[in-house]
Amino acid sequence: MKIYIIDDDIDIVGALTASLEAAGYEVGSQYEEEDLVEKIGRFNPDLIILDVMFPGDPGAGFRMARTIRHQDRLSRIPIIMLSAVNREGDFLCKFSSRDIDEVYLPVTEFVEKPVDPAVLIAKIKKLTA
Amino acid sequence: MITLRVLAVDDEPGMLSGIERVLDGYRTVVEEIEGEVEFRVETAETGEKALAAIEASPPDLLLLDYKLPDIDGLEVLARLAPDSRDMLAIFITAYASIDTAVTATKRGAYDFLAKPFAPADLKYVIRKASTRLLLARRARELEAEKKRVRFEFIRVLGHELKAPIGAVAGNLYLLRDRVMGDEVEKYGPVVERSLKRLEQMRKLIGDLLDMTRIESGEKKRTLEEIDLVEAARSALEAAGLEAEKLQLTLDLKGPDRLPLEADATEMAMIFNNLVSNAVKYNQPGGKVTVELEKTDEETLIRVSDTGIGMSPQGVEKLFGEFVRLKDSRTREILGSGLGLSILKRVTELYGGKVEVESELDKGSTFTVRLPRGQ
Repeated sequence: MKIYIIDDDIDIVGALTASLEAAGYEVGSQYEEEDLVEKIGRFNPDLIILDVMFPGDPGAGFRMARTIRHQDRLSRIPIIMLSAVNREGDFLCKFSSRDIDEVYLPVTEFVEKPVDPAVLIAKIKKLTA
Repeated sequence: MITLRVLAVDDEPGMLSGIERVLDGYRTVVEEIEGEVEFRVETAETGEKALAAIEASPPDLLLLDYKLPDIDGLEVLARLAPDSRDMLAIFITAYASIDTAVTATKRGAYDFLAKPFAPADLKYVIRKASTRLLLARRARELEAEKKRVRFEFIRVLGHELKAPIGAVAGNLYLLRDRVMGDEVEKYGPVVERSLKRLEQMRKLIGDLLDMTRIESGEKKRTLEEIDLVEAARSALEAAGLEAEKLQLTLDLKGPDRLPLEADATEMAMIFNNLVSNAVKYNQPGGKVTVELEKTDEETLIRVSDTGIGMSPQGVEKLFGEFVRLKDSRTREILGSGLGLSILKRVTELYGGKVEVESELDKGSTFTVRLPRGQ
C-alpha cells in the first residue's frame, strides 16, 4: 500500500514517513506544489495526505486538492487533508463553509495536526479498504 | 473617475431642470483624494417620492428643498434610515430661519443652500460635500484594510505557532511507538530536531513581543552613546557556535570605535538579525563580513555573506511578515519569519533604511543606513 505526503514541513514529513513505514506502508513525498500531477502519477499512491498552508500561499492545499481531483487518472485517490488549520475556527472565518464542499475543497477526510499516527493509520485503513 | 449620484428634490420643475443643467455631467477634481469626480443628477418632486428613491437606491448626495407639496424637507430627513449616513444631505431653503437650520442640522443635514442661488454656489456646495463624503469613505476603507491585515497577521501567526507543535508531537509519537526500535541512540536526531523547533518557537514569541513593542510605541528607548563596533562584536560572538558548525570565517571591518547615539537593545536587534541571517543562510566554509562606516551624512552597517543568496523575486518579498523563502536549499533552516520585518521597523525608528543586494548561490549583502542627527 502506497501513501503520498505533500507538506512543506520537513519534520512533519519525516515523522509521518517513519510512522507510516513502520506500519508497513510505502511512502513518497514532496514539499511544494511543483510537478504535483507528474510526481503523484509516477508514485501512483493509494492515498494522499495533503497540507493546507504552504509558504507564501495559505490556501495552496485547496488548490492542489482541486488539481488532483480534476485529473482523470488521479481523481479517485482518497485525500486526507492534514493541517494545523483548524476546520471549526480558521475555516469558517477565513475560508467560509463553502470551502469544504466537493467543488472547492474536494478532500475525503479532514484531520487536524498534530495527529496520533495510530488515529491517522486507522483512517487510512478505512479509506483504502 | 468616481461617479457620484445626486438626488435633487424640489417641487418646482424649473428648479430641478436648472440643477440638472448645472450638475449633470459636471466634472471636478477632488484634490484631497487625488481623484476626478463626475456627477449624475436624478430628480424627485415630492418628499414621498424622494424617500422611495432613496430606499430603492441611495444616492451619494441629496439636494433637498425645505418646502415640498406633501411632507417637508425636515420630515424627509427625520424619516431617513439611520444607515443612510453614507449619503450627505444639502438642505435648500428660501426661508432661511435659524430654527429650520438648527433642526435640519440635528436631523443630519450637512450643509445649506439659500434660494435663489447661482450655478457657482451650487457647484461650490456640491464640491465641498463631495470632498467630505469621499474622505470619509476613504477613511472607512483604510480602517477596514487595517483590520483585514491585522486578522491575516494573526491567522498566519496562529499557523506559525502550531507548526512546531505538530513537528514536535510527530517526533514524540515516533518515540512512544518505538518506530525506530528500542535503542535510545537511534532517536538522537529526532530529539535534536524537536529541540530546535522548540527553540524556533521561543524565538518567534520573542520576535513577536519585540515587534508589538516597537509597533505600539510602548518600547522604552534609552538613547545614549553606544559603540557600534562593540555591538557588532557581541552579535558575532553570539553567532559563533552556529558559525563554527559551518566552519565560517567571521570578519569585522571598520574603525576601532564608532560611537552613535542610539538605544543599545535596538542596535543589538539590528546586528543580531543581520549576523544570524548571514550565518544561517551561508554555505560550509563561507564567510560573513560586518563592515562599519561613518560618512558626513550617515552611519552604515553592512553585513555580507557568501551564502545561498536570493533571486530578485525573493528579494522583493523579503521584508513581509512571515515571509520565509522556502526551497530545497532553505528547508532545514529555521526562522520566525519576523526577523527582517523587525530589522526594517527598528531601522525606521532612526529614520534609516535597509538595502539588499543578492545573487543566487553567491551571497547577500544587507546595508542599514542610519542618517546622522537622528
